[in-house]
Amino acid sequence: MLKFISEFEIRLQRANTERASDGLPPLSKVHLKVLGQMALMANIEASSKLHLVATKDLDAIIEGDWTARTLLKNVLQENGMVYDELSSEVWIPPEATFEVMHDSSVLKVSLLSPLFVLASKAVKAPQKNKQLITQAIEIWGEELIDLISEHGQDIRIFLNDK
Amino acid sequence: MTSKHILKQFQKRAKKLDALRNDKRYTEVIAFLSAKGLLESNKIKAHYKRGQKIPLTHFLWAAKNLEPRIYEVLPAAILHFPTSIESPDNDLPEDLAAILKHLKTGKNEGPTYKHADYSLIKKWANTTLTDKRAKPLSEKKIARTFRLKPDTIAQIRAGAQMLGISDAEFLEQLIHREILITLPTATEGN
Repeated sequence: MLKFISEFEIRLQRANTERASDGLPPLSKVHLKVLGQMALMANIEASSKLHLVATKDLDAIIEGDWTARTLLKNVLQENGMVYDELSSEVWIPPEATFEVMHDSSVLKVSLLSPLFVLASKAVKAPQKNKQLITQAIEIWGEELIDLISEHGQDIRIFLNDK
Repeated sequence: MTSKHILKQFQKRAKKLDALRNDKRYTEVIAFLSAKGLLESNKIKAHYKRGQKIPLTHFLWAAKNLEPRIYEVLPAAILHFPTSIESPDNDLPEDLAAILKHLKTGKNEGPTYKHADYSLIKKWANTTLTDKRAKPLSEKKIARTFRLKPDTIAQIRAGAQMLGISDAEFLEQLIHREILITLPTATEGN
């Protein structure tokens, strides 16, 4: 994740240098809000406590213009990753918070906080995330259980074998 | 307030899962899929020993018991690295065989495989992997037999020879409009 962010930063800087030499204004600052498994992987606390496995797609909300989006997808591809075009459909709990991972003049990267990533997975994709949620409840306990339950999911399904 | 009993049950279950994660079946599968660029793990290093063969049953066990994301990438792994994944008597589970058939024939829609949408599975089959020897499925060539008039074949040959490429490459480039040429007719060429 760090490698990809630094490469993306370089591409944005380079694009702005070219635009300046062409007399064009710089690209507006990009804000990348990382969701899903990558948000957990990139979070130091979550990554140290949880066993995580991720597919090579990035769930993220991109606030930036089309040039920046294209640059992002290119950098992802060069790093063996793809951008999940359905990222905007990921459900984020309304009270969710984000943690800033990187902030420069051209790029800001925020990670959805682990508790809300886990709640989102528990509520919207429980079967795929059974083992992850079980792990997470052992670590975050009642705080996570309450959050999941508040959003309508019965936590007992994570104790079933089926 | 959550009952202590429920929390205890989660703790018990989490410990069981922790023990299972040390199973060689799981660590080998994750290491392999990471090495091939299909998955990423924060605790298991990507590793693949040349010539290593991992039984399909290990993938299915790991996916069922510990990491369902394996189901999403397993078809892509089988297609790209068939000699690395062993199945008993080449006998695949029916649902997996159906998915592979759809992917190989380039179908845009297909069945769900263990909660994973076909579109997701197809995405991994078409992604460029870190192992550059593995071509995305959309770039793999499929053999076809066509019956064409002798004159058509002669024109394809003439065009291919003119460009110094094979007949198949010539046809592909024509279809993708990478070349626009006027070919002499067979009689004019004589």
